[in-house]
Amino acid sequence: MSINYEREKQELTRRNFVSLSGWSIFTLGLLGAGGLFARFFWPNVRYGPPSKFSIGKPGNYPDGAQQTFIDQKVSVIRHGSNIGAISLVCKHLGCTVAPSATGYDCPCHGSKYDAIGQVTHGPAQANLDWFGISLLPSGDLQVDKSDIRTVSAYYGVK
Amino acid sequence: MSVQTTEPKAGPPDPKPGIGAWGKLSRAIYRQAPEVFDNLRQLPYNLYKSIYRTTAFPKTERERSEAFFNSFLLHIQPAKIEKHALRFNYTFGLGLISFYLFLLLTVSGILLMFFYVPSVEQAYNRMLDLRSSVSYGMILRGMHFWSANCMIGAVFFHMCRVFYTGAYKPPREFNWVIGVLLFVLTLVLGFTGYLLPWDQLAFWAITVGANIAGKADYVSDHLAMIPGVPNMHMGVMMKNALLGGDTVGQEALIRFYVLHVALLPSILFFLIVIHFWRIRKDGGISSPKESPE
Repeated sequence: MSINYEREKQELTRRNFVSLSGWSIFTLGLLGAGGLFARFFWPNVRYGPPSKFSIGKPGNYPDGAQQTFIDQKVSVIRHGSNIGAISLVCKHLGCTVAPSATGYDCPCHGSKYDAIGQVTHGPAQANLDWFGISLLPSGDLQVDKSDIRTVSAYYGVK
Repeated sequence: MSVQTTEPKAGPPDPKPGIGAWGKLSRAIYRQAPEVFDNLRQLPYNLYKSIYRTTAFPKTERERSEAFFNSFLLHIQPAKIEKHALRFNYTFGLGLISFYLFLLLTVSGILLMFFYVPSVEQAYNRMLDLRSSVSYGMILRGMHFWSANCMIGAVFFHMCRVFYTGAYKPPREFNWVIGVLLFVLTLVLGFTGYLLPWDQLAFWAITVGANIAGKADYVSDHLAMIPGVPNMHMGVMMKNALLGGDTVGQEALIRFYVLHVALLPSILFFLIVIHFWRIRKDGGISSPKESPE
């Protein structure tokens, strides 16, 4: 077996062509596998609690009531004939805020919100989210956490 | 493919006039620090040399051998082999097929681990999710399942080939022992993986398997015939150790999971490495010349 190595270095010989093709196919395959892996890694379903959940009849909430749904991280409040659903996820870095005498306090970095979720003390820069409420045919109220509202987005109860 | 493997030139490097910003940058580096310019120019060559420690186009027999000795991936192959070893129908490539299936099982198994949860509440649903709501989950599960089945077949036929070519005879007798251990480990990996989908087939297969182990009281029954020796019920001991309880439940699932994804593959890989190393130390694969008719 004699190979002209000087020629191999300079030209696209048959040997170099086959080698180049092989490595190209290998690289393409590797890129394809990488793409498939990225798609596989991307979650198609979420395993958390559903974003819509029932909070019971409006009559369960007397005027001035405040009830926490800790699994859903939602606080339901009633002022007069208005019912509101406030997110308990801090707008700073996502810790769960706790109801306090002045409203809601975040245990992680000390952010404070008033009773309707308006920020009163940093480091948070924004008010707590409110969620949309709707009436189900059964007469129960439903909170939809994908329907994000601003402060005082009350649902009026007759 | 032209690999630049020219030896670094002696004397001052010549700063070729480059185009645009690249040329400006190279000339600036050359003016400020010629030795840095020189080192940068030799960087690709030095990188290649530091990894391969050999020339890309070996000319002599010695250089060709060195190319094999000095590369980690190539050194597993012998630099020279006998002609009959290249004949496909001498080995049918069954050993390498088994090893490739093991690699395939490792890769697909690690990917499956991203979505599987070894808990009695979730395991079955996670398996169903792999089929329905994970992209490429079904083909991945199928790859793992079929590779596992094929690996048992490939290892079995590899043992047959080794037997019929007399490759179990000295000096390869210890490698045959390692091979038998590898075969047993392959079967046990198949058995432990069988429980993980947590369906009816899995549950009752492991129930039956564990109860077979539970029946193995022969030795302790006979030991108990010696006066003063209590009956240890070794079968029940083995069954309880395997299941971590009396029936197949959460304890059995987590035990089988850890055995399947961590302990047994580690032992298998360790033995595979020794198996490959011994092939080389025992003088390559067996030869018809060694046992003349």
